[in-house]
Amino acid sequence: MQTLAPQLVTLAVLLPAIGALLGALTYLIFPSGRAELSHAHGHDDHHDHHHTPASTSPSIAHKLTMLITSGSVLTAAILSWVLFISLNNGTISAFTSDWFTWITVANWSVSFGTLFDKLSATMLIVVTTVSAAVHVYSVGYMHEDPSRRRFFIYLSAFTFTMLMLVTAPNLVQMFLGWEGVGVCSYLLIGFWHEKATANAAAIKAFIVNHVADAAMLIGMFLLVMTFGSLTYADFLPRAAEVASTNQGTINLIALFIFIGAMGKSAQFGLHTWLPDAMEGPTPVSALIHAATMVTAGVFLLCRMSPLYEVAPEVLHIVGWVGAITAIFAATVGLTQTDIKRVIAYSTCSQLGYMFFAIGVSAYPAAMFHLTTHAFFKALLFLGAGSVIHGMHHEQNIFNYAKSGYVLRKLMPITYGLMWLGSLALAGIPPFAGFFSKDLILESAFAAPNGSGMPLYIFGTITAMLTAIYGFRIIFMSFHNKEIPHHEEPKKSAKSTRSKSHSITQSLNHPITHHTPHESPWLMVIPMLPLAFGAVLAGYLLKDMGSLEWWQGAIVIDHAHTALHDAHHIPAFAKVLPLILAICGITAAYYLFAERRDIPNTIAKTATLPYAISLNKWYIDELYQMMWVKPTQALASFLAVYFDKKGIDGLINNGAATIYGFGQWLRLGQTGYLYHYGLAMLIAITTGLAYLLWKVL
Amino acid sequence: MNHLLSLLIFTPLLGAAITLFLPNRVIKPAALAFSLIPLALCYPLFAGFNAALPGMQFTEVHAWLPALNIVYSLGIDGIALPLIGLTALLTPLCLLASWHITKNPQGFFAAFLALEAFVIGVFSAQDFILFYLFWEAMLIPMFLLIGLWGGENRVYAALKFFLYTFVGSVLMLVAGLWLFATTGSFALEVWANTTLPLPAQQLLFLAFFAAFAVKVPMWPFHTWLPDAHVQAPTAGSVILAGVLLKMGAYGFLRFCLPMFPEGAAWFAPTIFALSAIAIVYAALVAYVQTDIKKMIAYSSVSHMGFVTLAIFAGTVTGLHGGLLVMVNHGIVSAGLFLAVGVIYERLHTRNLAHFGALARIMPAYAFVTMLLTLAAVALPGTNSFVGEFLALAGAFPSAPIYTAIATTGVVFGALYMLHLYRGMFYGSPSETVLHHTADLKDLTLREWATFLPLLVFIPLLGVMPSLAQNLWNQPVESLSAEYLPILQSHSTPVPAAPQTAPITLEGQGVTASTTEVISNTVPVSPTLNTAH
Repeated sequence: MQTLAPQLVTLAVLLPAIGALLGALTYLIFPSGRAELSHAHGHDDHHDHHHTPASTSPSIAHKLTMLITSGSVLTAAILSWVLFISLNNGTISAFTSDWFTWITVANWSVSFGTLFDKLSATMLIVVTTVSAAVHVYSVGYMHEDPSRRRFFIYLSAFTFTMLMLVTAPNLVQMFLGWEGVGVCSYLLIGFWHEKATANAAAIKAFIVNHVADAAMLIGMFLLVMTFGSLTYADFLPRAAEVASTNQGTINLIALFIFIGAMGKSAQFGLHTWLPDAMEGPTPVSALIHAATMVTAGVFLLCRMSPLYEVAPEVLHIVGWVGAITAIFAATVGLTQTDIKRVIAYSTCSQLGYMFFAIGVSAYPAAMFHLTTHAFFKALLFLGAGSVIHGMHHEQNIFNYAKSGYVLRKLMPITYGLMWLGSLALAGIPPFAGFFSKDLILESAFAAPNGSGMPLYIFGTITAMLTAIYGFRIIFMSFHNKEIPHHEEPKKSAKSTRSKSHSITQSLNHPITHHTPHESPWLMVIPMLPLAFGAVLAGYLLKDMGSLEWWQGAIVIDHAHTALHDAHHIPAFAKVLPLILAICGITAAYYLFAERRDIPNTIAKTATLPYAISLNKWYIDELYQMMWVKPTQALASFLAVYFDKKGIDGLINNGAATIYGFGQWLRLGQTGYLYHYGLAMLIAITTGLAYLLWKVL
Repeated sequence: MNHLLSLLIFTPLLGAAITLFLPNRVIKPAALAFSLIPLALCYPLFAGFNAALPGMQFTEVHAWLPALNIVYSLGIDGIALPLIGLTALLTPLCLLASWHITKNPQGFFAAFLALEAFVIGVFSAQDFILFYLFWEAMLIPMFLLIGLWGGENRVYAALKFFLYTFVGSVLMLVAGLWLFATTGSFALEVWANTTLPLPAQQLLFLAFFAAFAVKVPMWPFHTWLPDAHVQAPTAGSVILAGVLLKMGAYGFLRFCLPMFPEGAAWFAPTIFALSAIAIVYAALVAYVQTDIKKMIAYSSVSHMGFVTLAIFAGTVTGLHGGLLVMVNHGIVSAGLFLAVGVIYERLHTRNLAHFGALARIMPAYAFVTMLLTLAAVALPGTNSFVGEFLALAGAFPSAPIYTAIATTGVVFGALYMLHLYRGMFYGSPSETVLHHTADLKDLTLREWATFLPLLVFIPLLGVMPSLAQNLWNQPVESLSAEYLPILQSHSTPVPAAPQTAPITLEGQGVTASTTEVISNTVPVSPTLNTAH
């Protein structure tokens, strides 16, 4: 087994790529046909897959592609589990394998290869499991879409790049995966590219991530300069040694890489792309924007734990950024009306938890939460997708409430699964989220010298908010009073949200009169393994919370005892988050199932906090003012005034002057040759005079 | 003696002469056939090239004007070789992309073949006069291509192109004559082995810099390029972006660094600044253009900023990166200009507002352009990534702040490319598209044939950059060995950078050979001195 293991890991990584390539090759046999173009007026506000114009691709092409891509990802998932279990019970041990040299210069080089240890093994099962579930789910969810072949190719390509990211033995290959998932995310957010909002969201995601990536690149340049290598095995063991003489550089490296991680993991300040990314099809949100890609930043910091351990100041920043993100996103999640956006903010908030776990050096807790979160968050998204599917592409939970349909009766399976996911999210025992989230909060509480205390407080408040917004979805969506369906469902009031968001458009959409229905089996079945994970992953994988389990893949400095002491904290500190979470659920039931007038009253009385929350702390508006507008203004200024009128004006004026001068000279001379000769002479002398002046 | 380089220069030239007198219906296939000869000759050229040998290979030396010690001297090293390969590859593709030319096709195709000959001449000349001859001769066919077959404002653009580059080259000629007066030779090798005093190096550097900076083009000497690109026919833009711009960077590598290292090091900080400005400035300006050809033209300015930044940083990593960016940009920008040509042929507009939704009716075209776009934003896995990554990583030790600024160009680069792609392929169709839906056929076989040879290189050089790097390993290391220590002695200590840094990293193989190179420099001799 051990001798075969490198090949198996390589196979698991490459299988989705093979699936995507084979899927793409179907275009050679069945080229996609020309879509009919229609005048776009009034069609901008389509939702989900109704609007895509019919294509002429035969359904066999779609079926073939779906079969190949889903099959290869499923196989990869089975392989990953075999590898994970073998590594866990010691049948195989961690290894690095080299494929071939990618980049060589001077005295450093980078190879393609795989690094397989507990960290990558964990990420392998997370990524392939969720991806396999999402592939199968999408067969049902996308069954009407004429471009679904393309969708599956993107999904598989995403899975491949994500696996490259997590199994890379060096930062450059990691960056290949990192950018690859970014591009796939861009393509999938903008999958319905007829929609202006989807395109805008896709570009926003790409650009915001690139801002972070630029920082990450600088971190990598610093690494090359300092260590002469970008291979983890080369530079991580030397981090402590370099830090002892050159703390400043290590801090800079850690900081720049963290900024990169903040982008991908949507941390406060660089999070603005994530809610907008919900423009993509819901399975994409589940796979990329909940379970896998957004956790890449957390993974990376854990991978580089030896370096972060010797940069405590940066860890401090990481912790604070995480805590602020956690509470910020939770406050925003309270008031959003789009079911997917609420879950998106929830993701943002949960990622914040993972980062503040890293901030107190509790990397295992962060990875543990990453794993459980992947299951329950993917489940929540797929459940939301099921609701959206059942409600004919309505995403506004207020419209569910007003629809007059009692969804818990019409969609009982989805309802039950959403409950499981929400309980796990709220951290109620014995569901998965309880184990991991509690470990994070306990670690924060136990951090040496009380340095994690503010984080603990933030995290505990967030735990209550999480329970409230999580169950707000359940109670608003499923617990409605029945209204006879021939009655026209009331349109909701105009939203105060900015008009660029699709949600406003959906508000103006009357709900179709088809009775909501439970989703087809193809969508329900893939949710079951995720539900299994949401319920049991915490208990089954609780060893992940200890450092020993990671077998050296994670390194923690002896002075950083937070995780070690997490079990020895006072009982009240342990149960406080749980009590608050239960209070939160109760409050949510009261506010959003029983007395829906109360939230309205709160919104009307506490207008300022409500407006801040509803408008996401006005960060988009702030960035619009701070970055977008000035950049556009600067670019226009440079293009028009500097380039055209400035430089070009100077040149043209210069040319005109010389020309005029020549004309004047021509009054006395008639020979063209002389004219040009003189012009040349002038050019040479002015040039040389300028040079002399410049040098001497 | 091997005549391969002469053949590479003179077969297209002969082809050009023959093309002028051919009847209309055979011109295009004939010209294409002529352009395939140099491409075929590239096989023995690449196969026979030994990357391990120092110095020039495939050398040819014939007496020419003995009275002035002017020699017909050709030869290439690993820096020139891939650029010749690029020229030989792009020319047939350009001709294929010009199949629709109806106005005086003899002239067009002859000019193009002549252009190919002169460009290959520039990359293989080892005598300054010969180099200068090719350098200036190249302007004529390009001037004609823009001025006769260009767009509405072609005469203005052609003149601007000509005058801009001509003014720069005149200074180079003066400097060359001065060098002849000093060394008594026009042989580039003699010049490279001559050590000049600093003031002379500074002046000479500036004179050569003027010629090459305009050609690259570096900010702020770039304003001829957008006009030239916009007015040039598709094939003209392709060859301009793909190869002609590289001549400037090639000049830096052939003349400025090896001949005037002290001068280059003295001016390096200025060049770093200009490069960083070029990268960000041109990307921003590209973003607000409405003409898609202009966008890509400005993107060239931006990308060439990486080249100049990396070249003058002088590290082995940087030089590798700079050269890779040159080759990769030659492939990707050529592909992008071809892609613009495809839609221009169908809609006769380049205004971004006139497109939209093309992905729905031209899926193959959308796919090809997406590949090129991803390569243009330097996605890892595509060829451009390795180049830009090495260029920046290599420039960082020499110029950390400017490199950091340049790195933000990655963001702006993505911004304009995605903006461009969205405007063309996504969203709702414009009125123009709706009215011409029937004309908007997807890629034809001929167009596929122009794209495929380029597309192959995107993943190939993306995962195996060593295919190209191995060619120029040797010259890159000797260039860096001579120049980098001088630059480092000039520059103030790197701010906020580690002590372990650049010297040990880039210099290990370097420090040993440096002394050797310096001791090898031949004393200035006024006697006649042919390089061989």
